[in-house]
Amino acid sequence: MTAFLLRRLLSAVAVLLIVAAVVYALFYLMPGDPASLACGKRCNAAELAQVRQTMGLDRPVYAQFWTFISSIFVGHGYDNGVGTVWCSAPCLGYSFQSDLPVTQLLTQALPVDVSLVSGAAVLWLSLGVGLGLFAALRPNGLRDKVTTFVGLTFGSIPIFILALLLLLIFCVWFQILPFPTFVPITQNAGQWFENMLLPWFAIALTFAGNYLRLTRAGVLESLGQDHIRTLRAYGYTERRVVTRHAVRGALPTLATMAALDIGGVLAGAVFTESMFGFPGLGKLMVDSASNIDLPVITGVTLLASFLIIVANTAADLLYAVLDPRVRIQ
Amino acid sequence: MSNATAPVDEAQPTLRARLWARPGGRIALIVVGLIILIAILAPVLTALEGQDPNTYHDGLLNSATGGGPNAPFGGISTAHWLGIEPTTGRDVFARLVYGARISLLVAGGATLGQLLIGLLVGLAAGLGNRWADALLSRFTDLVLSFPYLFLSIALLAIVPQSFPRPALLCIILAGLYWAPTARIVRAETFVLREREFVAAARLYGASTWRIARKEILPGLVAPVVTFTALMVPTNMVAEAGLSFLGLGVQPPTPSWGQMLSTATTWFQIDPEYVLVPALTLLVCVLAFTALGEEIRRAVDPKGLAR
Repeated sequence: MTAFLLRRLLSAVAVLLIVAAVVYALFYLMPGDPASLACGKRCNAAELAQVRQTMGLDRPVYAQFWTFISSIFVGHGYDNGVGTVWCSAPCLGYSFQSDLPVTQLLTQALPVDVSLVSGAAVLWLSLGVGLGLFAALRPNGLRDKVTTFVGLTFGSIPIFILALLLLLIFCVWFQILPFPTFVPITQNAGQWFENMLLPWFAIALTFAGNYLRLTRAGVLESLGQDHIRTLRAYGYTERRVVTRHAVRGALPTLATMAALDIGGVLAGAVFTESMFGFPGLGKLMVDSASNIDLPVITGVTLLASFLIIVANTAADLLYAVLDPRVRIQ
Repeated sequence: MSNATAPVDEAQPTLRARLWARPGGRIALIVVGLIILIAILAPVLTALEGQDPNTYHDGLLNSATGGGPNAPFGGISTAHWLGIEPTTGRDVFARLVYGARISLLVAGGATLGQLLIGLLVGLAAGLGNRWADALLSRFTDLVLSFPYLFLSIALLAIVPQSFPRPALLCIILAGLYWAPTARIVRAETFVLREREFVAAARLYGASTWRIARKEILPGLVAPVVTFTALMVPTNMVAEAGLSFLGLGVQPPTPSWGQMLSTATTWFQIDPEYVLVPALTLLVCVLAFTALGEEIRRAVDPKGLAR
């Protein structure tokens, strides 16, 4: 187990380093000068050279990359034109466009994604697993077919269309809910909940179909096994057999899937956030892409891959813990 | 020889025939066929309507709503079958049918690119020596753990606007999402290369390249087609999504995602304008997904290769 963990940790660090190098290389090899972007259109040659120097762009690419990597661990001072700003330890660069360290922008955005994923995950898990069990109680019956069809159809609707339709139905036609704006839970829990409802449902409805399918398949697979036969011989009701015992067979796959999806949403629900205007990591990414704010783009991409890698590792571990047949050597 | 193969062909109907035999497959085939036909016939259809996708109709807009259509229901009339676009007054129907071209072009191009890279990497890993396999498999794993969406957004942001966006979208989607295909190809190649006919070809002195083409590739068709068919709607959604974010296809080129993106600022005044591209994209995605699912069932009725 320790060896496995160590190996995963090493490969995770390697992947992160490679992603960082790839993103960094792409940005600095591509046409389009970050300095002139940061400086603006009415920038003369002397000012441009000054900006280039403060941003550290006059140094060779490998030296810039080294500064970037080392500043994650030891921090780095940035000259923003007025004075030197110290960007402390997990420093992922400095956004000259918003005059803030990238780390600060990321920590401001992350709570939005935590809010999104917490409610959405509860919703999609209960919807998906609940409906999957409901379908598996009478396999191939009418309710199985209807539930599976509806679940999979919702699963193939692109999330930005689902979000748009939800907005149209609940905020424009019936006007039951206010147009969502992000309210931090620390500010007003009731308003937070009310505003989170539509984004939660948009995410949950697109994800639930997969969980429905996995739950149904897992339950049906374990229904053929000996221990289920024994439980049935004891005279347990079918409902109890399915919802208490057969569901165990679907658990490892469900947990794996949930870990991956939670990691994915946490890394930034790009479309949901853009649609509802929530200032999370996804929106930060899109906004900084539109403004070509390179340090922020690099920072968000790295944080996203970090979260995705953590989720992958968690998924593998969960699978091993929940399925005794696949213990790691 | 031809006499010997004829009964086999009859016993195994073509994929199209097997799809047509299922009601779901038939509907999916018809809808997908219609979508492709609409895209091809875009100039004819807009000529029938008497409009084109790029002419502004300022006279039909209401300045009081900031440029919403004057007429109700998004300005639907006999002249403008699906209404007009807010602020510009461009014809929605014309933009929609021309948008189908972009959508299909990018989805098709990206899928083809993913297929080619996936086949090359997968075959090379499956047939190459131990080192080539290790190297390529590690590389595939690495690409699989990339945050695709974030990298696509970043790439679209930094490549200059002068680079044609539909082509760029194809390249980015193909370059970032070939890894699952490569994995499937490698796994299937590992099974196939142990078969007698491959050994026979090797004894015969066939080169690795020839074995890949003549012996392995035919055996890969079923699993690869099954997987690739489902990549088409995925790529279609990716194009629409990235254009929706304002990073994909740029105006004046019509694209469904970009229509949706304009619509988000207008849907309180002009909800009809949201529904048209949203429902069109929805129907397309569902039809292509259904077709993919039906192909999977037709190729592999027992659901072995999921």
